[in-house]
Amino acid sequence: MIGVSHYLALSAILFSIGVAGVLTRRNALIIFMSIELMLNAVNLSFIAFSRHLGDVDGQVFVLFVMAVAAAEVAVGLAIIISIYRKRGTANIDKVNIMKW
Amino acid sequence: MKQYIWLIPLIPLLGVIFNGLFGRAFDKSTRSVGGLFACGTVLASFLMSLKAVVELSQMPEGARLIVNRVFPWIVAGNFEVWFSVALDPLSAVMILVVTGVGFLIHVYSLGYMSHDEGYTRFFAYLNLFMFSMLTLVLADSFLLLFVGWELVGLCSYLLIGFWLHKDSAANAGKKAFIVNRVGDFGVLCAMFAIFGVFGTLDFQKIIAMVEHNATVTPWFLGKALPVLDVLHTATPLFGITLITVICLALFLGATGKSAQIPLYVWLPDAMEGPTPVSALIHAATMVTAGVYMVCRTSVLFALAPQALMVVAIVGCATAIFSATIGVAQYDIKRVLAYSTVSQLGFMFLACGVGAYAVAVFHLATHAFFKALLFLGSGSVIHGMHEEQDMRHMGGLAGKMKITFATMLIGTLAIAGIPFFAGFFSKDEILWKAFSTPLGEQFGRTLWMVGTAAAFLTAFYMFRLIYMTFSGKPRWHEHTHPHESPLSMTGPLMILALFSIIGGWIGTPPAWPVWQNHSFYEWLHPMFSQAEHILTTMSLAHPHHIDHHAAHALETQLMWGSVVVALAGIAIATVFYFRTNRHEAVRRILAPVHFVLNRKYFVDEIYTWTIVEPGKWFSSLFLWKIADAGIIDGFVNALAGLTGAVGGVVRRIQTGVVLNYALVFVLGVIAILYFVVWSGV
Amino acid sequence: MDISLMQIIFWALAACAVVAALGVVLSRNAIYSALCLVGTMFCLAGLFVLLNAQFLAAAQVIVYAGAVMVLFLFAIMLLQAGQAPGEERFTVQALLGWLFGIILAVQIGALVFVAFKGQSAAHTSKTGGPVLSASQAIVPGASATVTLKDSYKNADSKVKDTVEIEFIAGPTNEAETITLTETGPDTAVFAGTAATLADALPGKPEDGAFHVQPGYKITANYEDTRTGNYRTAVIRVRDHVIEMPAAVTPDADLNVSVSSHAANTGPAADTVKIVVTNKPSGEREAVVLTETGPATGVFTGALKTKHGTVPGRNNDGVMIARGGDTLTALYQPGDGDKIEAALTDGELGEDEQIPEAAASAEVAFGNTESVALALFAKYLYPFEAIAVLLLIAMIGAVLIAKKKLKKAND
Repeated sequence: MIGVSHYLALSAILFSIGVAGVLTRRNALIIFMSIELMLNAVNLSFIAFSRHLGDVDGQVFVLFVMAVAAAEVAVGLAIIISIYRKRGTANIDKVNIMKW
Repeated sequence: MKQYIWLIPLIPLLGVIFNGLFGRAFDKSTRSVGGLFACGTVLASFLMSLKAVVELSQMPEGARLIVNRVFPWIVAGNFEVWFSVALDPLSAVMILVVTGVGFLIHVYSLGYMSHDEGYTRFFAYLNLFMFSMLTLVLADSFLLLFVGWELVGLCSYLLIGFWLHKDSAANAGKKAFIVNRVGDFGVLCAMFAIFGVFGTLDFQKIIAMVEHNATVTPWFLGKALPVLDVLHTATPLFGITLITVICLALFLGATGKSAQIPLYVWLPDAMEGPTPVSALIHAATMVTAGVYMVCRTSVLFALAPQALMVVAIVGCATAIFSATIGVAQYDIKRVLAYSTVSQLGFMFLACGVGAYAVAVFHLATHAFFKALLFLGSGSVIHGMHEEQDMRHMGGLAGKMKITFATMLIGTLAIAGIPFFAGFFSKDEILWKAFSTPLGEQFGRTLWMVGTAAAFLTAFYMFRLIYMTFSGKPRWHEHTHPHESPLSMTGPLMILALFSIIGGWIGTPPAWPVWQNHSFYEWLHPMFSQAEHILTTMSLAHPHHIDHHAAHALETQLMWGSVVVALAGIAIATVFYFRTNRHEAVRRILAPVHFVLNRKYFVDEIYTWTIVEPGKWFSSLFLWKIADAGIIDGFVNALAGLTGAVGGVVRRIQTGVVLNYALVFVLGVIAILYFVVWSGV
Repeated sequence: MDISLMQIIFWALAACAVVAALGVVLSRNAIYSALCLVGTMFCLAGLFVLLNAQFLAAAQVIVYAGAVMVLFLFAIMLLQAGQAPGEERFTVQALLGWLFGIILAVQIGALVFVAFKGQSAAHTSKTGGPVLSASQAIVPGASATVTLKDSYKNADSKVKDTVEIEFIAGPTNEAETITLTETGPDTAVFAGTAATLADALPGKPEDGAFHVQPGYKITANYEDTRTGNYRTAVIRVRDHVIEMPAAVTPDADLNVSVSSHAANTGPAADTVKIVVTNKPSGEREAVVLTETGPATGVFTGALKTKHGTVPGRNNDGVMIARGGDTLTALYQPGDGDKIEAALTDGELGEDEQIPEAAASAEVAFGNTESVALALFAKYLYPFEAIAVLLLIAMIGAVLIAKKKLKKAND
C-alpha cells in the first residue's frame, strides 16, 4: 500500500532536486523554475498531510501557495527582464552588485 | 461637573493646539481670532472652575474633596500612578486665582501684544502655561505636581525669552531655567525620599498615613515600623532627621520656583519678558507655586519644626533683603520684581510660622494687586513707547488717568493701608509671626524684621508712584504718552476692584468692624491637621497665652503696622513728591546706594563662585579630558576595531547570489541534522 | 505481494515526476527545462487526484502548467535565453550544490522515516483522520455499539490493541469508560458496546452501565492526538428506535428493525407496522415487523427491493428502486401516543456497498465543496489578502517590466 510516507519521500526528492538546481544553474530562468519545483514539492507534502490528518486546511494552504507562487513568478520574471535589459544577460554570476 | 474637573486644565490645551499649530496660518488682520480663542478657553476654564467650586462649597465641610481618576498613567509592578486630579478647598482657591487673574491678563494681552510679531506664539505659550499651572494645582500626587512644576518652568523659560532676538531676554530665560533646575533637584530628592518611606506619592494617602501613623516597610530599613518613627529617627544627613531633610529638599524646590534666598536671582532678570507674562507668571501665579507646595505638604512640614524655622527665617530674610534692593532700582518693572520677591518672602514667613491659611490668603490678595501693578506698569511702558526707566517718566498722572488711579489703588493695597486687600493679609502674617508657637523670642524677631520690610514696601512703592506719575515730565523727546485701550484698562479696573474688596473675606480677629473670616473657615479643613500637630508640639513647651491680652496686643500691633506703613508713605512723599530732595540723600549715602543699586553684588558673587568655576572645570576637565579623551576615545577605538574586523570579514561577501544560497542551504542542512538526530 | 492499480499509478507518476524534475535541472536548454517542469506538474496533478484533492489537481494544471509556464516560455523567448553561455564550466559551486541536494534529500527522507516509524503503511493511506461512530439512537436498556477507526492507535500491528473512551450521559453526568478492542490485528478498527439500564435513578460513575431514560443523551469526545481536533459521537436514548442499514443494493432485502418497549403489549410476539417511502419516486410500502421473541421489545422485518427505473405500485410488497434513491422508514406508535418515531435514511448504491464505518468521513473529505467551505468560511480574510497580493504583484510586474532604463552603466 502507498502511505503518506511515500508521498513525503517523493516530495523530499523533488525538493532536493529543486535545491540542487538553484545551487548549480546560472541561468536565472532555470533557477526560477527550480524554485517553482521546490514549491510544488512542498504542495505535494501539504496535500499528503492533509489527507493523512483528514483535515482540509492543508489543501487550502496549497491554494495559497499557488497564488503566492503565481504572484512571485509575475514579479520575478519582470525583475529578470529588467536585469536582462540593463545587463544584457540572464546569468546570475554576472549580477554581483550585492557586494559593496 | 464633579466628573469633569480634569477638563479645567485641558481646555487651555485646546488653545495651545489651535495657536501652536495653526497660528502661522493667520496674518496680521485675522490673527486676533487666535487671541480671542485663547481668551475663550481660559474663560471657559474659569467658568468651569467657578461651577466646580460652587459645587464643592455645597458639600459638607469635612468632606470637601472631589477626585477625578482619569486614567492609569504609570503602572509598573506595585507602583501605580494615575493621571488624577483633586479639587479641595486649597486647590479651589488656586484655580480661581489662576483662571480668574489669568483670564484678565489674557484679555490685557490682546491689547498689549497687538503690534507684536509673535502674537499667536505668545498666546500659545500663555495657554500652555495655564494648562501647566492648573495641572500643578489640581494634581493629586507629587508626580503629577512635578509634571506641572516642570511645565510651568518651561513656559516661564519660553515666555521670558519670548523676544528671542534680544540677547538679554534669551540669557534671562536660560538663567531662570537653570536656577530652577537647582530647586527641582531638591523636589526630586524629596519625592524619592517620600516614595521610599511611604511607598506612594499620593497626597491623600500620605496625609492619611501620617494621621494614622501607619506601619511602613522602607527598603532602607528592611523592617516594618510606624511611619512617624521612621521619619523622626532615620538620620540620612549629618544627623538631621529624615522628615527635616525631606522638608528642606521640598523647600529648596520652593525657593527656586518662588524666588527666595538663595535662588531668587532669576526673578528680577525675568522682567525681560513681556509685561503680561511678568504679571501672570512672575507675580500672580507661577512664583506662588512654591508657597502652594509648602501648604499642600503642610502636614509634613508640621512634623519638622526645624524645617519650618528655616522656612520662616528664609522668608523673612528674603522679604527685607529684596525690599532694600527695591528701594534703589530705577527700572519700574525691576522695582515690582523685587517687591514680588519680598511679598513671597512674607508668604513663606507665614508658612514658616504655621499660618498656612494666611499665606494662601496673602497669595490670593497679592495675585490681585501685584497683577494690577504689573499690568499698570505695562500700560505705562506701552504708553511711553517701551520706556522702563522711571528717571525718564514723571507727570504721567494727567495723561494716563485710569492707569494712575488703578495703580494707586494697587500701591495702597501692597503698602498695607487699611481697607485695601493687602492690609488684611499682611497684617495677619505679622501677627502670626509675632505669636508663633515656635518660640517667643523667635517670633518677636520675625515680627520686627517683617515690619521693617513692610515699612520699606510702603516707601519704595510710593517712590515708584511719585517718580512715575508726579512732578515734571522727564520724557525723551518725541514721546507722546497716551492712555491704553479698553482691553488693557478694563482688566486694570477689575483687578483694582478686587484689590479693594478682595481682603474683606478674611479680616484679622483684631479688625474692629465687619468681621468676616469666611476665607479662613473655607481653608480650615485643609490645615487643621498640621495646626493640630503644631499646637500639640508647642504644648510640650508650655507657652501660655492669655487670649484677652493677646487680642489687645494684636490690636496694638495692627495699628502699629498701619503707622509704620503711613511713615513709609510720608518719607517717600518728603523725598520724592514733586521734589528732588532724594538726589541729595543719594549723594550723601552714595556707597550704600551703589551697593543696593547693584543688588548687593549677589549676581557677581554667584558668577565668581559658581558659574566661572563651573565653566573652568567643564572646559578643562569635562570637555578636554572626559569627553574628548575618554568618551570619544572609547567610541573611536570601538569604531576602529569594527572597521578592522570588517576589512577582513568582507572578503566572504562575493556578491554572487548563488554563493549565498549555498551557505543558506548549508544552514538548513545543519538544522535538519539536529531535528533528525536529536532523538525526535 | 499483490500490487493494486493505485500502487501502479503512484509509482508510475512518481517516477515520471522525478525524471522530469531532473530534466528541469539538468537540461542545457531552458526551453527543455520549462517543458520538463510542465511534465512534473502534470505528474503532481495526477498524484493530487490519488490523494483525493481533485480541485487542486485541476488548479495545478490550469494555474501552473497553464498560466505560469506560458509566462516562463514567454520570458525565455523574449530574452533569447534558451542557451545561456557559461553553463558548461565545472565549478566547486556546482559540485557542492549537488552534494547538498543529496544530503538534503537523505535528511528529509530520514525525517519522514523517523516520524512514521512503527506505523504500517496500510492504514495511513486508506484512512483520513480518526472516525468515531456509534449507534445514533437506542431504547433504554439496549446496548449501543461504538466503533472507532484510528490508525494512530494501532500501536502494535501484531496484536489486537485496545482504546478507552469516556462517555458521559446527560443530564445525569454519569461517566462510563468504554473499552474498544481492535477487530483484528492491524485493522486499526476498534469496536465496543455501551450498555444501558432503564432506570430512573442516576447510576454511579464507572459502574459498567448507563442508567438512562428516554430523552437522555450519551456523548463521547475523542481527541485526535495528531491535530488536536475532537471527534464527537452522540447516542440518543429514545422511546422508540428504528434502524436500517446505511446502504443497500437493489434486489437485496431491506432489513428494518424497531425497538420499542411500549409496543411490547403482550407476552406473545407482537407486531408493529411501518411505512417505507422511496423519496424520489414516491412509492410507499407497508411492512409488518414481528417481535423477535416474547417481551423483547425488538421487532424485525424485511422489505424486498427490485432494481428498476419505473416506480412500482404502492403496497405491492416490492420496492422498485435504483442507485441513488433514498428510502425512508416511518414508524408511528399507537394513536394516543404522540411521540414521533425515529427516521433512518437508507441510500441505495448501484454496484458497490460503501464500507459502513468509514463512509461518512470518506465522502466528506477532500472534495471541492469542503475546500471551498474552508476557504470562504475559515480562511476568508487570508483569501482576500492573497487576492490583493496577486493584484499588487500584477501591477508591480507591469511597472517593473515597463520601467524606462537609463543607458546601461557598465
